[in-house]
Amino acid sequence: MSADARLARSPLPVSLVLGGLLSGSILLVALIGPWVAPYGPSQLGTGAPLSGISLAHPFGVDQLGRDVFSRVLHGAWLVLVLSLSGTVLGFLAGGILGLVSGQRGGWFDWLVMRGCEVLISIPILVTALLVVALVDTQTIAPLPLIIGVIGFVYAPRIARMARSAAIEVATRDYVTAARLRGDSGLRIALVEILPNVSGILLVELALRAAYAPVLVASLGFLGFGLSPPTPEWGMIIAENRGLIFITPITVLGPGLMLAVLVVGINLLTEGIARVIGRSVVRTT
Amino acid sequence: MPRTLTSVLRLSSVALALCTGAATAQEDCLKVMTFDWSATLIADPARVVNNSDLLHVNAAYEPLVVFDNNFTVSPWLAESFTQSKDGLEWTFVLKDGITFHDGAPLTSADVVYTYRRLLDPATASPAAAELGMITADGITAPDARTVVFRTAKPVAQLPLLLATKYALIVRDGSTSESLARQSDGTGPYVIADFKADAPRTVLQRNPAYWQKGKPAAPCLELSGSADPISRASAIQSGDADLLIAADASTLPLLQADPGIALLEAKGALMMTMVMMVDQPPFDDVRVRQALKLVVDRAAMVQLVTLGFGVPGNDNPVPPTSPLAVSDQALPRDLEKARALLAEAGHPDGLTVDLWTGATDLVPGMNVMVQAYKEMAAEAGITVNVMTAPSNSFWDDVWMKQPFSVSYWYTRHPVSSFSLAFRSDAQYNETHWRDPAFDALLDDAATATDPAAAADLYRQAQTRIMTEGGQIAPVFASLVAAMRKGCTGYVPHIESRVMFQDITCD
Repeated sequence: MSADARLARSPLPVSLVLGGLLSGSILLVALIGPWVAPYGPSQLGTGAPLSGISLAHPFGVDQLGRDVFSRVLHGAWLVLVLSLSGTVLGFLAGGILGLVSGQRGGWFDWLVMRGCEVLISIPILVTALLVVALVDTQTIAPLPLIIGVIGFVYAPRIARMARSAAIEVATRDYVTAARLRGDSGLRIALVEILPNVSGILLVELALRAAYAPVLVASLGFLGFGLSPPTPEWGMIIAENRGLIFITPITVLGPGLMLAVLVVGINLLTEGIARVIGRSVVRTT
Repeated sequence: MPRTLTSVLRLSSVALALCTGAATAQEDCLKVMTFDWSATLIADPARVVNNSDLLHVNAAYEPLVVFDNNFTVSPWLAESFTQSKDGLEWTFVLKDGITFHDGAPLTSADVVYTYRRLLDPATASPAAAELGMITADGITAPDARTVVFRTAKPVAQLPLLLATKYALIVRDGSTSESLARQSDGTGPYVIADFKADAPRTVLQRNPAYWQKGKPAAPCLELSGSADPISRASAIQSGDADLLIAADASTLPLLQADPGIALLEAKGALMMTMVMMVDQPPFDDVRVRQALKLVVDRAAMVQLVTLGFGVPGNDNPVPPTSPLAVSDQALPRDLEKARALLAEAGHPDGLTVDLWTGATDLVPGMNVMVQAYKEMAAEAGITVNVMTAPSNSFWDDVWMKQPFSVSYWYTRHPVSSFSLAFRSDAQYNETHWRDPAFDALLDDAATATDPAAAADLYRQAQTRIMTEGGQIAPVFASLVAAMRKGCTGYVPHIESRVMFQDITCD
């Protein structure tokens, strides 16, 4: 049964609708945020410093007198762009590596997979911090660095998933036929195998994208992300961490937005998986 | 919400204490908490590094002389001190009836040994550089209660230099090893069973302390936490009687607590942005002046320290000091800044990179940087904030990048100028090399008339303010928090604690 026919028959899964609404709302904030924000992202003196929640300042005012709500609105696109580009980079690198590795087999496959296993055995945040610490931050701009780091930590995980899917498809008759026809390994991977594993990879992409904002914010929170006064959400939380007893909303506000984004993409992933008939396998 | 969070934090700190099996506090101990508890505590006064080390040695040892927050020196273990007519000799007479923890009387031999030990390269004490104008042979003891310091040329500020935090009197013959086993000072508390990796330390009262009836508490418990919120929570819950330094961000919370009093040592910590005067575009004095003129100093104090500070005037002497050129903050002048930039060949504005730590190097540092960025933007100056990991900032960025942040604990000009501004200074972070300035310092150090010395220091300050590479908009206060019911603590500009005077009911 095709996905279209399935959609026509049954109502949309709740997770898809809810996930779409939540992540859609954050996407909307990212698109129009900078134009509707009442203040500039680093505008000083918008209100009394450390004054709490109010109609004029829904997320309070930080120590510098900046409106935290405006900073969150201005920073939304950054969180999305960083998370999505990093995930796509990891998806492309890991996907191609996994497909080729699964299709070729032999020593190449062995080498690639052992390398991936080594990287996967280290927790994501630790790998990310190691990469940031090893790279000369005085020469590489932080934006491409963070995208690269997310791509780097995701690539081996996606490669392993792509490889196991590719191996399953590689034994099919039409792949054997292509091989007998004399097609190159890369051509077989892209033309014969890729279209048949795209469902699995799509779910994997969405799943990774769901965790990427947390990784971006974690790097920002720990001070390994962008430079101040960039309104990246993790950095906003870190900046106002000391104010948690005085104006908790300055921390909870951006935290809530981050939670909405992560929960939204997760639900959306689950919804998509259900529609295309795949199950979500959550791994780290 | 804050109340709930505080309760959760308190519960978790209790649980943590139970789990780690940390030394159980005695209820009637005086409990003092600091902000940087070292993983390797040092009990040798000559080699203290962290504030936690300083607390230990301040409790067990005492100095010959002390200085107050205005750098006025007064005798402590000494009864009096006098300078000879030629200015080359300073004579200190010791108080009578003072004994060490082991019962031996304090004599001039102990004082001579202490200062000679500080000068000995084998001790590796940072004090050796500060005491550079004294030689071991120049310290003598004519009798059991008299010590004489003789220098090659007059040193007007010698008593101040002798009051360095490292110069606490130890027994003749003490070594780092013996001091780590058992304290042998004259101080109000005794360190016994010292462990360098202890999470907290309990010191017992010195029953033979020379100030009768002091200290009031039978024991002193020292501990520390790097987390500002944990510290605030500790004093609010009664786990600490005194916090040596409360973080600026928690001050509004502590201020609102009726059970806590805040005590402030003004002008204790200078926060700066330093330009190398030999690197473009900072090699043009007009650019440096423009970058200084954009600062709104009063606003900076409010933003960075939430009012717990004083404005700085781009030199290491705080305006609260009697040695300052002026007690008023330099005015902001955007028009003049723009004009100077245009004259210097930047009529369309200027872009500079300012380096800082990814996380605050001291509380409020990155608030200062971000506020400066916005203030400079109004004069057409674009400040790109560049960050480096904070743990490698001092190795990889400071004194390597032409424009970076820095900070200094406030010292008397005799120390602060020599450390960071003299042509051959070890930490000449602005690359300021000015023979006329050096000559002013030399004249001030040897001037026997205090008024003349002060005037020379003011001239030196003026040179740095107008032409130097330091932008120093804020002096943050050292703010201590004390539980109501406790008395006797006076915050000191160099974090010295007079433990014998603190009592709690």
